[in-house]
Amino acid sequence: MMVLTLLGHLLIAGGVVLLLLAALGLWRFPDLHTRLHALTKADTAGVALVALGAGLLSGSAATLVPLTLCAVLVAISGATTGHLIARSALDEEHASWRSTRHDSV
Amino acid sequence: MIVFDLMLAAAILVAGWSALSAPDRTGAIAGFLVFGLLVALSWVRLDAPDVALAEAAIGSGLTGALMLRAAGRMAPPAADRVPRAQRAAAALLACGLAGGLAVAVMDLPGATIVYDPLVRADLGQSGVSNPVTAVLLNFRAWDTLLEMAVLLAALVLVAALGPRGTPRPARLGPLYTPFLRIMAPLSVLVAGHLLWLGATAPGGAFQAGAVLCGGLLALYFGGALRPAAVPAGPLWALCAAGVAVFAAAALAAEVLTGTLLAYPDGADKIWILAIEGGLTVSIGATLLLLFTGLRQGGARA
Amino acid sequence: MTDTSLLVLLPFLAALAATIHARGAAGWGLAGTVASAGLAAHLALSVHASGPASIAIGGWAAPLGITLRADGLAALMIAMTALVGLGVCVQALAAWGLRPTAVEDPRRARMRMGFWPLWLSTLAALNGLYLSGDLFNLYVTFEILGLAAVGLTALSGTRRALRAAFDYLVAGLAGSLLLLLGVALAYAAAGRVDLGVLPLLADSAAGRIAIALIVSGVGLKAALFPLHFWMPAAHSSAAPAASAILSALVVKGALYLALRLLLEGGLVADALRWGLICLGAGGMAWGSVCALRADRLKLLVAYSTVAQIGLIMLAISVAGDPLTGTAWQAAALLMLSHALAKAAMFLAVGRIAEELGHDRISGLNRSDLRPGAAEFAFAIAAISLIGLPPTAGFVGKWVLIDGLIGQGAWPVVALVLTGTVLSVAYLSRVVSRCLRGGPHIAPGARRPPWRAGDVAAIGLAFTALFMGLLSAAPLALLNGPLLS
Repeated sequence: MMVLTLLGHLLIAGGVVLLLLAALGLWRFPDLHTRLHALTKADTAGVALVALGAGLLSGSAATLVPLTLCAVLVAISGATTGHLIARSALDEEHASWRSTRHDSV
Repeated sequence: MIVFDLMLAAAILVAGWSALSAPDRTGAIAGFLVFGLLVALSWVRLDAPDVALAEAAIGSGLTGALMLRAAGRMAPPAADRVPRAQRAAAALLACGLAGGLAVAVMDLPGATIVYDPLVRADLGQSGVSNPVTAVLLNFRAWDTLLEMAVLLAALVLVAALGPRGTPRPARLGPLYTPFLRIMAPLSVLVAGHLLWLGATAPGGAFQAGAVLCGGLLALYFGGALRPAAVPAGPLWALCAAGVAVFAAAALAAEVLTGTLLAYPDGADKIWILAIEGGLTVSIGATLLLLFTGLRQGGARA
Repeated sequence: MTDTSLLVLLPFLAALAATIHARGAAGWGLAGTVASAGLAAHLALSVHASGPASIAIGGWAAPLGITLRADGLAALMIAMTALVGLGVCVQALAAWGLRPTAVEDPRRARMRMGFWPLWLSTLAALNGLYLSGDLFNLYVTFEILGLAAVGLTALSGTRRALRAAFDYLVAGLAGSLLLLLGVALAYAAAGRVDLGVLPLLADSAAGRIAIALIVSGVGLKAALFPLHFWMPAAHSSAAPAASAILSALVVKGALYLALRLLLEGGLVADALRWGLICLGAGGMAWGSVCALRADRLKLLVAYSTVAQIGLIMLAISVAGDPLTGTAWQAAALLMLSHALAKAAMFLAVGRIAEELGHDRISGLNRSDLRPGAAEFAFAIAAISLIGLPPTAGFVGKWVLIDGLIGQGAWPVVALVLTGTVLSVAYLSRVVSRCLRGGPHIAPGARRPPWRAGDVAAIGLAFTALFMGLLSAAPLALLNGPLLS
């Protein structure tokens, strides 16, 4: 039991560190793509770690399973939204690049 | 925990201020979304998980989506700001209100809890063991019935005043379809789970309906669902079904037991579940149509 | 007592039907309104015969569950809603037709499909409001009422109407939030939200603040001066049938809640009463002055509503202890007479504007157009609003002044009389122009043809006129025992 509790605390601490890093990246990185890069990865792993840690702390499988499911769902939707944001940003950049080139010509 | 609560309160204030002071609409809406999620967290801290679920799903999530959509339709905000005097007056009023509330909260007598023991005393006869569901669907079901009327009135308003027809959402690329394949069925599953859970634990028709609406919205963005292509009559029928079932159940109960909304003895849970099932479908459909808009005017949509 | 629940559920189900089956919206609307009027008459008769009744919904008694209560005051308000509703229905049917025609103006179809669900929702909400015995439930009915009323304002689709409807929506939401905050605070202070909580609230500062919040929410929703800023534009830019509903019925919901607060012992603080008296008097003065200066007929009628709301709020807040005195009955009678007269007035103004092509007051006396039935209806309604005998307005003011003299409140008597004189002044701006015959009318001037809208306006105006003679009926309802 002690081991599980310790492991749970460790996982949560690791998750919080990753989330803090994601926030730092969002704050400090210069443009949308690098920010997304920091956010999606650290975010997904952070949430997964926190959820796993909380599941271990609770000590029951009935809690651990839904929490794991939550982590999986956050991972899927995080990846998809990250992709969608990057895609729409790329589209916009292309459009503005084309229009500026058009104007200068 | 007091440190956490203080930090939460401070964060809520900061989020509120950032929503109010953001220079553009998108920024203000982002502030509002953060604000809503933090408020949901504070509901959890206040031991009200049902309210937290509703706040996160409807108060923050869906309202935020509606706002983003409205902001996308509107012209950019005019340059002229609100006059200084008006801002000062609003600030003064807000401060007065806050002061009054502070005085009232300081003064609150702690011990006049009348309602809680009443609910606990009759919970056994309500057919469900979650006190929130017992209040919403049994003790004060009349309020819930009328709340559904509010939701429907809002939809009537949107249909009467909203823009005609809905633009097709932009294509979202190859990664979206697999995402949809997981999320759409899952939303139905989760909605059913929340609905069933409502009898014994936090959950119920409103949360389930919001989740269902999330799945429907995902389908809409994927281009798999086009409310504009469906005649308005059946869509209206779908939205009205839940509340019509509710009203019919209220009257049927009156016929059966002689009292409005008094479910027959022993069958409370079945009645409540049937009503909630209808409500879930209607809430999901209504929230979706509030977002996409629909045409008024029967079959010739 | 099945009719109490049906009074709310029947119009509501009819609204659903009218929404789903939009081609038959007018048919559903007519059926719902007439059936609801029948139920209202039945309720009034049964309350008169066998006294007030209450039902605990779901079999759960009051602090736990919600109680529907039908006493004399509620029955009178429901009957008033039914009467005005019937008149408005005639006008709406005349204006937008019963069934779609083969070749149809899209605007006409849009109005028909939009109006009926909104009106039926308004009717259900008002009936629910008058029957409710629970503060939170009252808030919910106000939500339905507010949304439906915004829809009715915006229905005509003009730019001005949309602007006014948006302001109305924002003001209504602010009022709702104040009301909700007050109810929540009342729950925190006393632990329950049924109307029985009101006397308990006076004991604590939190309770008194809760009452103040509820009253300010009511004031905003009732367009009590100086919170009336949203109202004249909303009421004057809507379609005639919608204006009649908004001005005659919707604001009455909030005034009724104020009266209930008084009857249930909620308005015990003297400061609150004096504040309301001042605001009522201010509303009478400001509304009258604006009505005197208004250049458009609809705006004049809307500002006269501001003045009349001031008078009614004055009557509510000066009434002494409702258990011993009868002064509070004046407020109910004034609400009844104002509803009938104001609905008649808005319908008449709609007809006048239709014939003239505009509603500028300066252009009322045209030489090629004789005064018609609508002008006549306006004059009769004006007589009732001013309060000349034998109208319902006269009886209301009589009971009010009688009660005030009994209390020795002479300054308030002077206020009421001044308000009456002002109402004579602004209404005669219209009536004198409408009824002027003689030399300025050309020999070949045509008379406007009869329309169903005229019938509705004249019917309501004459009801207001004769309600004074028949005032034994409402007074008998009001004299019955109250539920509290």
